[in-house]
Amino acid sequence: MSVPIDQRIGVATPEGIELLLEPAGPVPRAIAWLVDFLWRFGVLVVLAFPLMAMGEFGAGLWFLTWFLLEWLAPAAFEAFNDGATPGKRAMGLRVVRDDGAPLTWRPALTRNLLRFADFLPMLYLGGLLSMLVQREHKRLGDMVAGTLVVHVDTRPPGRRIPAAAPLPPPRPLTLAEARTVLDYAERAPLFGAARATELADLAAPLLRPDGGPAPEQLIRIANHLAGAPSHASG
Amino acid sequence: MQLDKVAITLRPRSAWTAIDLGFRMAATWARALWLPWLVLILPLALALTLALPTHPLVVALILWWLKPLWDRVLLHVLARATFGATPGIIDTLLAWREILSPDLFAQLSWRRLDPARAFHLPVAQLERQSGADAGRRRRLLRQRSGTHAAALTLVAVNLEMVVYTGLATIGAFLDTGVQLFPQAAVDAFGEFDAEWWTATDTLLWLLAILVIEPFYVAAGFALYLNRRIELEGWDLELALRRIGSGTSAAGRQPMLAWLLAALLVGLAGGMPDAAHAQPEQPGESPPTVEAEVLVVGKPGDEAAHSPGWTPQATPARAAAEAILADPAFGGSRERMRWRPIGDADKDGRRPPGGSWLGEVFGFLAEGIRILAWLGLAALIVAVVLALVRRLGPSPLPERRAAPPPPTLFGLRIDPASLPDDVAAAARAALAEGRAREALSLLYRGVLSQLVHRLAVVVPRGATESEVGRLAARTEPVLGSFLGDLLPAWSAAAYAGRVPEAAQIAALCERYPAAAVAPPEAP
Repeated sequence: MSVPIDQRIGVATPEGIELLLEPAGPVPRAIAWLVDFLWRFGVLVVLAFPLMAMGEFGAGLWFLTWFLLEWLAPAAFEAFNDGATPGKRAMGLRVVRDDGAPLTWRPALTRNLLRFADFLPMLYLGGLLSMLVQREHKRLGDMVAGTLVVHVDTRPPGRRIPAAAPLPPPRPLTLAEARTVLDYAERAPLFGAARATELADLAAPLLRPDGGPAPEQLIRIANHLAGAPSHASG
Repeated sequence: MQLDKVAITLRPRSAWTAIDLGFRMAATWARALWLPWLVLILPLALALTLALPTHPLVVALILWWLKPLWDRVLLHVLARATFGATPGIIDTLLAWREILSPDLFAQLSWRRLDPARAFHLPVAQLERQSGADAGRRRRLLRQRSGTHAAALTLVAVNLEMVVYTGLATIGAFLDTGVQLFPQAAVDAFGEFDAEWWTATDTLLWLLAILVIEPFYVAAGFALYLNRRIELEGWDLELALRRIGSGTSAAGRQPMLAWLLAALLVGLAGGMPDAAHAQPEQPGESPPTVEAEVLVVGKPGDEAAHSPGWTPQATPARAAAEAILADPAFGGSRERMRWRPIGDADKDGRRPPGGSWLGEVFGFLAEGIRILAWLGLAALIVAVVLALVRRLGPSPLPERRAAPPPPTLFGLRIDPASLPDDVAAAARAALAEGRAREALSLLYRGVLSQLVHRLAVVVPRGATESEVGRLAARTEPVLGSFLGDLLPAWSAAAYAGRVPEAAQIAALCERYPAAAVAPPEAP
């Protein structure tokens, strides 16, 4: 079997560290686009009433605003708002450069002005196909500007280790083992009781025969690893 | 069926990234996904067009309505590819019986417009559940991913429209007088005539479905897998097995085996080794037994798709029912809801006379009034708190300096841990030949003075030489002594080069006198 499929990609830094980026695909980006479209639309509608009252001058101003909102506002947001337009922020997305570095105004402007290349002549079909076939889900503007749209926080929401009296493991754990135990404790509440027991039983070498139910023991070990205060020291 | 053969990285993901993973899966297995599907859909489309040449819209609607059918072919390929056995086109077509078996009618009729179609499909097709069990299962799966599944469907519909209108627009550009491409998309806002939907539109729409649908089904499947990983900890199972490798659970039949077998029920015939959950005990149980475990529901269905099925396999059925009884398969959720109190009757009877609309507005007004009062109360509390903070005598307790740390650089430096006369103790250690300990005592003594007597705050992550500079700034004597001590200590501690005894003795002599006095508590 080949390398397992993962949507996340690694970017090597000069320091020899691999950054893991998770490029965002068409679905979250389409929703972000919709949010952005709606707020721009809303602003234009609200502005229309006072500006139209000002006659032709107002109409001119309105079209100018439209132009700025359409072409420059997203670029400004991305350059100066941590790489995220309001829609991207709502969806937990941000734009970064290919190497994971923060976006500067030049690529931000490039990728937004080149939106017309994605849009024309086929009403975003070009951009969509480009996103579908590439691993990094880049649209044409992203390819020219050298940018990526990534998920900011990719952890599943809200997890904590259930509180329990800490229990030192019977032997020192390797880093991977400690992570596994902590992960187990965080996710144990999501498993059914039977499944939680079955999983905990797999880690038999860490369990004491007389130490109570296996899931509880693992959760107590996790509390120890996470540095929960013991009863003695308060 | 082994988890370590899974062709995706197992890890709980956020729902959106799971959807993105689905797009990657579809792109990776593109050939295996698109080929069998094209083989099915293209002849049907052609046949329909020939049968109904004057009704292209009807052809398009039929092809669209049959989407759940195409989805099943795609899911069949996806599920097998995910577990390491990408099927060829012949295998896929030969498996038509199990692809079509449970619940297809429901999906083509009253559940056709299910907003979470792709997300729910694996429950029927892979877990082979139907009826109330399937409903409970779908509810459980939806708990954290339902919104995302619906959003996925909505976006997929729109992506399809993007492909269709995009293609139609090219047609409009290429249109040089010959009515080769339709006007439908171009004149979308123009008047509709009888010819507004042509066979070309049907073709373009079919192309749009062809492009988007595999991605959609794969994304729904990935969302489903993600939920299973979340609920059953597939990745944790692998990691925990590594911890317990060789010693644990050798004789046990994990419940997950049944669930996975249920996921891949069809593999029992075609891929016996993959249907095996326990590689440690090859041949102990025929794979068909596992494959049948989760088939609960109406006996009639089961006989249809599982030739080796015997209805009296009661232990397996009991086990399956035990699994289904588990809270993981659906539980109760607490939900808080506001209900009007006061003059509204408990049984919802309206007092006579009032108009229906008037009551609705009356109720709304009452709610707004309560909210306004609550808001006013919150505002008053906030103002009072702000005033107390600003005007109160000692508004906030003064920020106390944190107690000095008992250790620095991993060395204990609290005064209690040190001898009263550090220099004397160091000399004694030196006399006994423990030069390293002597240096350590001196060093700890100086640090202790610095932190506990002079209350110097050493920033986290400061280096030795930074502490040296801090000391020089705080007290020159201590600083110059530390400046001489540091090279000796560093050489001994980090390079293992212990300086000459004479040099250490000289340092002992120079140990700042302040250390002799017992340090006072800060």
